[in-house]
Amino acid sequence: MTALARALTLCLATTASAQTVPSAQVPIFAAHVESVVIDAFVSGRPPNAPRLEVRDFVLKDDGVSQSFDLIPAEELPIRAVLVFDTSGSMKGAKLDRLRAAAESFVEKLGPQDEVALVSFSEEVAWLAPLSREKTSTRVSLLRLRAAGGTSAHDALFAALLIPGSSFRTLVVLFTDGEDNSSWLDEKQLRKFVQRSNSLIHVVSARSDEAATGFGPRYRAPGSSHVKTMRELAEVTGGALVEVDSPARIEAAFTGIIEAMRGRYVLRYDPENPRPGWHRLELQLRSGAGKVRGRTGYWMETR
Amino acid sequence: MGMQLAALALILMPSAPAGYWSAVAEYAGGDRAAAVKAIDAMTRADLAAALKEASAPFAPRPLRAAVLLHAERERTDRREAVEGSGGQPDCFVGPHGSMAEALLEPTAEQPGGRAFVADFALAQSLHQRSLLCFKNALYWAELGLKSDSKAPALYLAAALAGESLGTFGIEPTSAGRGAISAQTPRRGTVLERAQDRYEKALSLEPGLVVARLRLGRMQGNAGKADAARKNLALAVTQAEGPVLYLARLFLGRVLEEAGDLDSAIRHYRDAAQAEELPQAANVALAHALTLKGDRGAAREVLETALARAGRRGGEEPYWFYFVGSPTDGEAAFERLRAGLKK
Repeated sequence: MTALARALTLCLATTASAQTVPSAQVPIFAAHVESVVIDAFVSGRPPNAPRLEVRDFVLKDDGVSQSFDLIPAEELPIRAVLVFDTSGSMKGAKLDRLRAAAESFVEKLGPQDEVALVSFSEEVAWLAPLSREKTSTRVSLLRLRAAGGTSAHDALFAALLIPGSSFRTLVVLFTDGEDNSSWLDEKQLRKFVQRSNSLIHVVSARSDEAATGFGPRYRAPGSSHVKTMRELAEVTGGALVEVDSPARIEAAFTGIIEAMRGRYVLRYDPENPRPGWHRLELQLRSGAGKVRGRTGYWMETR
Repeated sequence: MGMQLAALALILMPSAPAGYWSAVAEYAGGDRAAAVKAIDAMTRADLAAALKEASAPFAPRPLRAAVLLHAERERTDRREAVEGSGGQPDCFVGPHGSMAEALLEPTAEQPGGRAFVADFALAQSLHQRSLLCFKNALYWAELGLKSDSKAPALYLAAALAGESLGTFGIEPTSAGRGAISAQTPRRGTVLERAQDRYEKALSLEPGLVVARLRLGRMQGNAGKADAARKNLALAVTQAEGPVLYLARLFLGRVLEEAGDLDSAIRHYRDAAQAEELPQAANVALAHALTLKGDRGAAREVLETALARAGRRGGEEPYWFYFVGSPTDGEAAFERLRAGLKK
């Protein structure tokens, strides 16, 4: 039995057992499974260093060390939801480069991997459903048109909610400006992200259109919009990459897929089923290198 | 002696380029395209000469038509800018825009001129807002209030511009009115002033449901939950169409934030059914359902709404709430043009 199959069996078993317990106090995760999955991204190690093993990581849940399994990343298909800004400021080279970057990203996915496409201006559109068959996404990429406002929050909400969460999805959000037309505000989105079971990576392009009257022309790296998006990504274990020219968009996307291929996937069943936010700490036992993973998870009360 | 001096002044005054006043007359007569084309090649010097002639006290001219003609010529420039930049406007004021504004001073001196200036300012404010040039929109509304300080529509326009400006915090790089950052008040100040303007509009016209809706929303955002609920509940009873949709949406948010999820969900559902294919109401509903723990229902609501995206042709009332509709300003200009023929 592969590690993946073991994990799936565990997920199914715990779901089934939860269903047989009538108590209203049985805690489950937003994911409706009792295993916590952590994508761990390791950096700063020599290029030819051997793969890390369980003993190389230290994982704490609310300060308590946890024992966990390492699931080979190559056994876990990627379920990628591409969420693309198509507001007015994306017109021209930026959208062309984004399209090319996305095509290259899809090309690098394996036959078992899935991809979906969501676009947003002031309206969010689910253009291609999650599927191993990538043609629908490719065709939809060709149809992207830039106009209107920026509903990044609503789009991210949709990308987290719609695929369901029995498997961890990878959400790749591309945006070039501040949200200005979402129904959901930052606070609502932050709460929802904490309760989701997705990994979020954000590629943020600086908006540098010369003659627009809408949206900021330049956002400093520390601007509140960038800060928010960075925090949302980091709480899930992902990261925000800023690109300062359309030519760098493809490299940012390539970086994400390479990071996914090289990541470590930790899975454990928490011993403390306290409902609410659980703070996670992930470290490398030795000093060489750095590791980044989700900073916590939310346990619901059912 | 006085008459002689006036005659001398007329002789010495630089005159408008040949054909200028006939173009203005053409515009007043309804041939707008020909008139706009006729003034297309005017230089800044030509415009300055025409303005001097128009301002001469002893040479009454059809100034309202001239104002509208230059404003329309200016809008042609902005329309091209919008189409050429992916829907994003350039908020600078061109020579014809400046000319239209400069002509307002002598126009105000003519009989009924102040009322025309107020109506023109209102049209400009609504138009500039639909271009997302919120500072310009605010400028025009405040200018209009100097001519008519009891016009509810102008208080409403000032509040609309202020609410959008305070919400987006836009700072156009091109020289929109008041684009200098040092002169730009903080967002919070702009929003507070917008609230005051809505209240003033309602004090002058209590049945102005759009002002009530917006005041309620802003009160909700400012943490004045009771006042917000009262105004929005009243708006729900008075409004129809897109305004009713928005009133239900905003009332739902106030209730959701107060912890009354069931009532919020009821209003979101009503909003979602009140308008054809609205997305904001469905996002609101889906989110509220997740707070209730019903992710399955939330997913179903959102999936259905997203699958319909694009079918409305961009007619989401929640989006137009902030940016206005291009038709708002155009309707106001049409009323002014109709007035030229009377």
